[in-house]
Amino acid sequence: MAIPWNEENAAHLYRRAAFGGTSAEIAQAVRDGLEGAVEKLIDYSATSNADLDRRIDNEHFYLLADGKLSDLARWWLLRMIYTARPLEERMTLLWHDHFATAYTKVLHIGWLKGENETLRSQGFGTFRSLITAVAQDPAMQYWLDQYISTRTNPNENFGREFLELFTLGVGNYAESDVLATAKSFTGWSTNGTTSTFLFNPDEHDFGPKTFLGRTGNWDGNDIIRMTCSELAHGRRIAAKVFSYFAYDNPEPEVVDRFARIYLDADTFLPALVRAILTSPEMYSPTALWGKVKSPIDHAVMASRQLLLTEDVPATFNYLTQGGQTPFDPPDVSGWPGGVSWISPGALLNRMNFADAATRAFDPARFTNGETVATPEAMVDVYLRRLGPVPVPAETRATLIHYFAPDGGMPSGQTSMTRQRGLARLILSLPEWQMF
Amino acid sequence: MTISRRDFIRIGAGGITVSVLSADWLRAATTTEALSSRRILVVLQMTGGNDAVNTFIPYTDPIYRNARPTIAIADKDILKVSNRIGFHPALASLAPSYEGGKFTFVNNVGFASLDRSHFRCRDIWQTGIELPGPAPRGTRGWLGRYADTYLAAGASAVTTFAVDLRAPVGLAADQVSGTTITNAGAFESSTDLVVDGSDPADRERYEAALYEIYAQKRAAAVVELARDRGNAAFQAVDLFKRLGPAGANPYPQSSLAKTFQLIARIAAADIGTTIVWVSVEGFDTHGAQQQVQGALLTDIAGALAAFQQDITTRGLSQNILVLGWSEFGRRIFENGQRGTEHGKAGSVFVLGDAVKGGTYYGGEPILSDPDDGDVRTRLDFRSVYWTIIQDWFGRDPLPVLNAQYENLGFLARAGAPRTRLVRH
Repeated sequence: MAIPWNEENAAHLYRRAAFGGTSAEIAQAVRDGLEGAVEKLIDYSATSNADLDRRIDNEHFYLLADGKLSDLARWWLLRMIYTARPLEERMTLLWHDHFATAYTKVLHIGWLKGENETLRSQGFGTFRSLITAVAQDPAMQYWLDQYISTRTNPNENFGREFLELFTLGVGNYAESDVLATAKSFTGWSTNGTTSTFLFNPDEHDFGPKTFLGRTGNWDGNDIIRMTCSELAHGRRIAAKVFSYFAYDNPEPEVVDRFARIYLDADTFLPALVRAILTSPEMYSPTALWGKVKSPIDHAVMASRQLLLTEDVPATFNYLTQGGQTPFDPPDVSGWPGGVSWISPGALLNRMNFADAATRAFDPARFTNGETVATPEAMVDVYLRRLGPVPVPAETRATLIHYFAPDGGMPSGQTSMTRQRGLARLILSLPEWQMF
Repeated sequence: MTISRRDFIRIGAGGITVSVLSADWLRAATTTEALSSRRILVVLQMTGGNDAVNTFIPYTDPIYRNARPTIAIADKDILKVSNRIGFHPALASLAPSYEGGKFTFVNNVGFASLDRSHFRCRDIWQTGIELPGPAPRGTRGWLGRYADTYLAAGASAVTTFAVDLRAPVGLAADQVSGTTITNAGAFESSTDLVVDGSDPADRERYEAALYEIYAQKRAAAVVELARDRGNAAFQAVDLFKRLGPAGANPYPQSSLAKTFQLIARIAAADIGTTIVWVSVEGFDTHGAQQQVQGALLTDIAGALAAFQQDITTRGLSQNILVLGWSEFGRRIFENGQRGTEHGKAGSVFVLGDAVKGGTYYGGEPILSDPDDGDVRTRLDFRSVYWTIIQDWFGRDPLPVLNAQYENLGFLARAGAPRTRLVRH
């Protein structure tokens, strides 16, 4: 089945696999064709991020143990907004939600930054190597009490969430497998001085354990290997990644299809992501504008698509009030997401963010290259460059009436003020809360 | 200048019609008789699995000290309320409420299929339904079903109200969608449409356009939902403008205390809020339990004691009941790392004038009769809900809970004179 490749679908791809495309990026993606556009996003290691690195260096962030959470969050937000490798940040955000650790308990900015870097550097190879790195990461070790899990006192916190959330899901293992997992990971600890992984053989349980019906002298690597070839694991990760890019609650047969691709590729994530991004489901009516933006999606997409040259002041506070403090998810299951993002209070917060974002906004830069002679054309440029956003005709009419109450084309300062208002209204639309 | 939504509706600027507002909520919120009889339930979720054994301590159980060599509370520090149970010392500020018969607790509360999973257990406590896995999206909460059943007529955006990092499943409803804010400290700024004040004329036109857009129906269900939530937000903004200032009673300096101070203002403003949901994170004490749990219980007890004072001063204390719960208790034996693993039955507490205090309910945890190392469930948590719906709200719990549960008798009957049990 041929997927129509046009501005609408290219913009959709960029909303999901990047954080929204600029009109230049969308136009290029249309020219590249579906496969070419997807490949450009996936093959990001070929793209230089020197401009981003320079921008971040110039901020001189202090991100050691006793640094500030708001600084760490801004360090990452700048990456998301100004990266030349947007899928890399998308994957990092996906894994940050999947392997959720929170500042509330970890209380160590350096470790949280380190984990974020692990997710970025390992997040697009095999899941097996990713979860191995995560299991050895100081922030995760501290978060789920793994570093103190010993032969005589195996701590079940990591083992339980490893099975329930990270790999298999409830119903695919027995309570005894939780203890077997905990025992197998004993001795996986953290060197507190160097903040690096430490295997402590004295605290490792070298004895036999029975895991998923198989008995052996398993250690953590064995558990990872056995778990990551389970069909239930394939389904869980396929469903998670598919839901992230395409649509929530995928049909069982869709999950099975992608689970097979993922397991056949030996948990190699680019194979799974490529299959999803080029699938008919990805561009189906269910997928298009069918997901609710998280506060991070909302803020980062607004900043990118408005072509802001600086991040919006106090974005961190808006994210916190919207329910998504970076590095501080509510618990180990991450953010619940979906329609829970758009409670009335959170919507107000988004409207307030739209206000702040459009104050720093340069309408001339935004409409550069467009010939805009009428109020209708102006509204259409904004709707297209911030979407294209599908709005009812009467909503378009309201926007036109806002921009030009007497029907004439505003000019000068009035035009600037109302273009800002137009952008603010579009960012506050019910449609713009979706993506 | 600012323009309130009410002014805006009245002047009808921008062609918006009054039908945007179902005017029912305004009527309900301004009918004094309806308000004077309104009772508020505040639900406090202690997220992570509070260790009940170290909260309401069975200090004379011979196993207690044995099981917890590093985290047992020293006998001299326990606030003994009977010859079998004593409070964690961090609950000291609630001791007067217990003495006064306004605070009590129910032990050994859980459910049959308790499996030590945070997420499944939390879903079950919030929905009142023992599903095998996580609750599917769209599952209503027990209080959501209560609101749909008994509060839908005249409900507003603030009939249910939550201070939580997420819109709680417990309040999820088909008809009554309430307001969730994440942080009471940011309440004023997060419940106003703060638009650029530099151009008042544009601000009016912007607000007019925004309301008009949100009055326009959409085709897609999820966009309709966003539109509906937006209108609820505008309504909430309007209702919250009626809140008076904080009372003179001092509160501790904590986010939770600020939340309870806000709840007192909401209750005093009579804006129709009936159910309030609050969550406190951090009870998953696999390590450093003494410090972590002690700090959390101190925070809760301090906030609640200040709240009880505040609403008493305001003459509202007969109208408010607080229920505290956690998704599970923790294992009887400590884990060798100064913490405890996930367990089964736990304890709930209630605070309010309607509490039949002077005693506690559900007996004591019997540490010598464990369920796979955990406190055994002897009371189904839905009997707590049953008791509250029947005796606090004076409603039939059956349509909400869909099965019959026991009334545990910890509340005075709604409308009936209070009776006091004799103290130990």
